[in-house]
Amino acid sequence: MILCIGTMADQTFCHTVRALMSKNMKCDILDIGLLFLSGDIHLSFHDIDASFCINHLKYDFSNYKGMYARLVDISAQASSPALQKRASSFYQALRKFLSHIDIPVLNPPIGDQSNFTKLYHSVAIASANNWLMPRSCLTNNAETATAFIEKCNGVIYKGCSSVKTWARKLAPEDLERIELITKCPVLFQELVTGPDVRIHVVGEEAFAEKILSSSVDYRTIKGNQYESIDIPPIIKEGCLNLVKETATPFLGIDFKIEQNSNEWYFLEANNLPCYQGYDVRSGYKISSAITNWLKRNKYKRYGKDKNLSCVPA
Amino acid sequence: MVLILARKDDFTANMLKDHFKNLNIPCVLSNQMNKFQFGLTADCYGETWLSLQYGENTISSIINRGMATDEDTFNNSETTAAWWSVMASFKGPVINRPSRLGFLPFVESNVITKQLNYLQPARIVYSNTAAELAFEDDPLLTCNIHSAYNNKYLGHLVADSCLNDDEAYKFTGFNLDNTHSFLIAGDDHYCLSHPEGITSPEFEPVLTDIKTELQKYNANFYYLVLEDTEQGYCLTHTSPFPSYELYKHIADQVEHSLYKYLLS
Repeated sequence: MILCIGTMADQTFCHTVRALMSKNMKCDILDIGLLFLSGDIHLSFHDIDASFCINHLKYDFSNYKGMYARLVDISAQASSPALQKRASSFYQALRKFLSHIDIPVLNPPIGDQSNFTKLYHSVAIASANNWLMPRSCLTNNAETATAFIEKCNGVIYKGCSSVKTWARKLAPEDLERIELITKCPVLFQELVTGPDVRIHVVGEEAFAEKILSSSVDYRTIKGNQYESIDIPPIIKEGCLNLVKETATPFLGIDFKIEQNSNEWYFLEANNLPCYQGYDVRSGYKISSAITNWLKRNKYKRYGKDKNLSCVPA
Repeated sequence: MVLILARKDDFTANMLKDHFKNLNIPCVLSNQMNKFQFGLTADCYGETWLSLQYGENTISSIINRGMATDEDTFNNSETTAAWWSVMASFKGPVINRPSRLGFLPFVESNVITKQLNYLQPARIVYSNTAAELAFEDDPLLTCNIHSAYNNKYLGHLVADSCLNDDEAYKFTGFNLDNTHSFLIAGDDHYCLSHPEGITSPEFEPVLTDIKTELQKYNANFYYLVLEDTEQGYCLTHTSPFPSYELYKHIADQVEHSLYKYLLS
């Protein structure tokens, strides 16, 4: 039995739960929204045990052999400061516990956090794997930005944190408001013209798809073309290493392929990838790999065997 | 110039700033990015160049005390992310340098415990209900309470502790008689229960091992609570956010250790 922890308001979480159940995997679902709103939590680190209770339904950790966790901090959406504090405290406790336990978790919430800060994230991962990355400049200084822009053959700009922003191609009129960056830093990157690639890695399996789009940021439009693509050995090796190094069994890793040189440029690795579209187009290969990973129980941590169920309190 | 990256109301950061000012060391305490000018560039091989200016002054070393804020705004996220990249890429010395593992080097005690084969702490429970039940069977244990929300120490668990079930707390049980607290400051360490901060020789090898582990996480201003039991050592608590109150009796030494590190 697997415990699935996430929120049913999250389409990716629902997609994964449906996929697990369609493959006859027995699952209990712990909705963190309900847990934070009206549940109880008891996590014991010394004997590695836990129980959660929502509306008289008790989830006993000792009954589960694996976990699918898509733990998102939803506290910012709370309707009151008190609820925000409660949701945040539950979230913090849960992420520590899920990173400590002795059963396989896909994905443990504590590990590489650097995706929050995009430039350092790109630099750290690209240089560790001998990958190329787009030339970049993070600044709140208009002169520095202008100097960087002048050196590049086309520039895109976007936010530097994990908060979703769209990448946009810098247009001449943008330079007229460049002084605004003194109030909020901006990440500029040299434009890499060519298709995007998303690689999903589950354990030791990698699934890649090429995305051809008329937009700089393919997420902003419909009508993109998607094709499967072979992954060059240096890229595949690095992706598999990244999963091992970060002890994060499931990653979505983004690249751009420069259309003239055919060189791959690393953009970012995401440990909470929204992968359902890629999964459907691949014939559910990614969710099958997730199911198989959870069945294999490979990543033992502290080593105790458990059984599971969801019983009324 | 030394940058102490901290909130204005961080008392410990303010005491550090006063110490540096008394020594005529240029120092600025701020986390307001718009008071600084910075540019961090990277080439396609991941090599980086950074400039960080406060007015006419170039920042030469940094003490990271975190960006803790309750504001959840876009600007706050972007600023935090920018400081993270800047400090992680900074070529000079940084106390508690951010890494891929976090903005502040939060190293859970159980992580070090596992690495060094120490005993698991006697009791660590996160709960929002009736946690005291977990401790009532062992009257020898003292139980500390921290907020799971912001990791703040809230006090000892007593019969009439005013806890409600509105949030989760961290309850840590330990035997007070066997427990010792230490502070890592730069390359030095201090025993906080000793009036002059001197560590007894029996703890030196343990602290050296723990310091080596913490260095992997760039953690060099760190509070540790160690329990010395008959069965072995047990790391009960760690924090990358030591408070001045913990070390005020040896503040000059601690502040000198931090400054010595910043000069290295």
